[in-house]
Amino acid sequence: MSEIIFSTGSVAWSPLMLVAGVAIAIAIAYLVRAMGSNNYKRSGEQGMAFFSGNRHPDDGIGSENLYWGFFKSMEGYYEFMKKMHSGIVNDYVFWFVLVVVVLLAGMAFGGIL
Amino acid sequence: MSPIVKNVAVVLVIPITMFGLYIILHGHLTPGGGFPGGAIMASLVVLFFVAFGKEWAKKINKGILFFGESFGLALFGLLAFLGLGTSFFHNFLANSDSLFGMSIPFGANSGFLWSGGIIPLMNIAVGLEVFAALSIIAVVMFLENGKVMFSEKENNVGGKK
Amino acid sequence: MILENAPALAIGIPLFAAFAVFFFGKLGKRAMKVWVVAGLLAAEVFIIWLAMDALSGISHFYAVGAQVPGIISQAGFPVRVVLVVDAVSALVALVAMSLCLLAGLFSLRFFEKKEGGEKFYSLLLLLAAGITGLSFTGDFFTMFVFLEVISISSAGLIVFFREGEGFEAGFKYLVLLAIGALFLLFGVGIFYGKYGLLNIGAIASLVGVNASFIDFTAVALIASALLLKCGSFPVHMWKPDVYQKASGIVSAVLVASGLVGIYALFRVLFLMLANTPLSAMVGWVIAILGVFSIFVGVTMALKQTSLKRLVGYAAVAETGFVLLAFGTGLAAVTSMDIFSFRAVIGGMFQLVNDGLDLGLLFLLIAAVGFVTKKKRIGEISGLAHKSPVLAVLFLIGMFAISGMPPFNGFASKIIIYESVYMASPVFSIVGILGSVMLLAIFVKVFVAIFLGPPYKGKVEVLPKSMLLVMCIFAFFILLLGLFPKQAIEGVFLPAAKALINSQAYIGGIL
Repeated sequence: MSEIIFSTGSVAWSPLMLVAGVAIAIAIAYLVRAMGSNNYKRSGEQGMAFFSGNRHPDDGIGSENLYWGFFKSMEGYYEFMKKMHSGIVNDYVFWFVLVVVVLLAGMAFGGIL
Repeated sequence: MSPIVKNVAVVLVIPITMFGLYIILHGHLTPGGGFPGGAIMASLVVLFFVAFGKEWAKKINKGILFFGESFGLALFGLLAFLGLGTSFFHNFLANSDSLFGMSIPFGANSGFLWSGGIIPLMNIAVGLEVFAALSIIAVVMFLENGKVMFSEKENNVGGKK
Repeated sequence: MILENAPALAIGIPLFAAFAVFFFGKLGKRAMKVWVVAGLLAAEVFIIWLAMDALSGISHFYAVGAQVPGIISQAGFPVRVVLVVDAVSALVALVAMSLCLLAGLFSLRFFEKKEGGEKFYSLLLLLAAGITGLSFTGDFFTMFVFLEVISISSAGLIVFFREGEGFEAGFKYLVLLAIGALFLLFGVGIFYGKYGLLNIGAIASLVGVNASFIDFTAVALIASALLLKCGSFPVHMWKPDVYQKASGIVSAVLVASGLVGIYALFRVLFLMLANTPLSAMVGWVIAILGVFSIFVGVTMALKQTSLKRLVGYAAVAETGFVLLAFGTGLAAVTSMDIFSFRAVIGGMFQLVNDGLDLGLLFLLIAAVGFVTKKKRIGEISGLAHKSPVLAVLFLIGMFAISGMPPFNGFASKIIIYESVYMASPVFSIVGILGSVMLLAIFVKVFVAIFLGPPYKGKVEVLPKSMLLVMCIFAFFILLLGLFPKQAIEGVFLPAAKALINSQAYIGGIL
């Protein structure tokens, strides 16, 4: 049994058991589905997506707008990030020189202390 | 360009070629070697562009230059593989009394050409390659003149896959 | 007899193949393709043989061009350019060369209708040789040379077949990497001036004896140049630009070069800072940079509309995971805590998973573009009806990269979460958050491309070679995910031990 359980100190995890469990769950779901009625038509009213009783909105609420709340609440952060990723090579080299300075200062203080 | 420049350019072919080949061949004795020697010989091509203009540049056979470049590189790789009996890149010609491996005469002298093993051969290969490659770069930059560099689709940063 | 030259041949064969592609191109397209695949396959066979030896404990050290390649230091210091193949460098070279081989196989049908293919394959083989060289090198100057080879050949590959729109990204990449390589050369020059040696192992043994301020300056310069190469937080901006403009195949190979950059960085750091008090500080700095990379990569990826740019930001986040894990391992390496060793194992596993997952995703994007012949993601939707195979492969790649069980991403990430939690709980929390947001990002992408009403355009048949390559990726993802215990004990434990144990490396050189 210990060949299929992978443990890292405080967690024991066995992927094969998970796959077996998921397969059993899918089998049970399939059995439940097979016990239903089979007069479902793909086309027509039964096949359309449900929009809480309203008509299908034609003006494209696409998947890009899925996380609108997240973006609105973090607007300041995104403004700063847009300025940082400006696309100008000189700014990128500035960040690189900053990394060099930070590492050098850290090495200097760490070595002296 | 004026006839003086054109004639002097033609006259200068021989000294520049001799100088470039000298730098390439004596790479194991004097400073230089394959890369600077090849660059010196490629300056001939640029000299002829400046003297004769675009019509001359259009007549250059790029196929031969590509062939020369690949041939130089393949020769370099082949020489590295030939010493595989001992190890990769082994200098199998040194101390072997053959082509480039003669024993060096004792005492101070101005450098003995037939020494060095495979190093002069590799210098020749690299020199040929650098000459061909820099000539191609000069030809492309001279003829195309930035025509393929910019298109109207270039600055479309988001939205393109 | 050939096999004892294997470390050099693994670099030399793709190099020679790159130079000779032109001649085979003259013989016809088929001969050229056979030559390219043969070159990559021969190098892969050598690296597999070396990896099998190295992962069972036998390290190979090779002096290039010597009378007896196995003897490195006859007079107490190493003499020629030395190639070092121990467990971790063999593993990294195996992952990188496999990525190059599979990308090369994928590109055979992809670029079939375009001209100038021999130059593309020449650059691809040169890049493969450079990546293998960087992972095998034991010499600082050779590290600089191979870094330059990688940067120039990949800059050429980025702009290939892109019809003018890749030049900006290629130019930025070239400028940044050239500056980084110059800083690396400066650090190497400092080491050479002080010790008169260029060999990494020999310098490490001398630094261990009497470390001073100038050594740490050189290490800081080299470390920052390699941080630029692998794309960590403040200097990651070139990654999304480059991954967006390059073709999907080239992006997969660039992922491999990023992985080798991480390996080179931590090889130098673990060797030089092994017994000094600076290892804690540098480890913490790199772990913090890794956490920021995860956060910035994931949040910026949410907002993108271009698919390859999105996966580029996800690549930044995945690199952040590896940096976090290795940084935690470095921070505690002197105190020999068990969690630092586990962090290095997790980082090693995550490195390999990075290559697999990101490679699969980039090749999938290239396949989607090939099949639909469209360039904008907004025009494609409902592709799952026409080609369900691509949808299933994308699901596998998506779950693997965001760390869902039972795929390989979960196994490596849970080791990272657990061991990093001991260092600082905040890092682990940000890591888990990053994984969840990665899933959110890729669900959005999956819904946009694959779900919805059936695709109305014409869908070409996916060539068998491309499908085979992507299935190989999926097979290894599933294999590593379903049998993590065997993978860790057989592969990643020896590799982690070889990375941490600087004495074994120095003992092999001197």
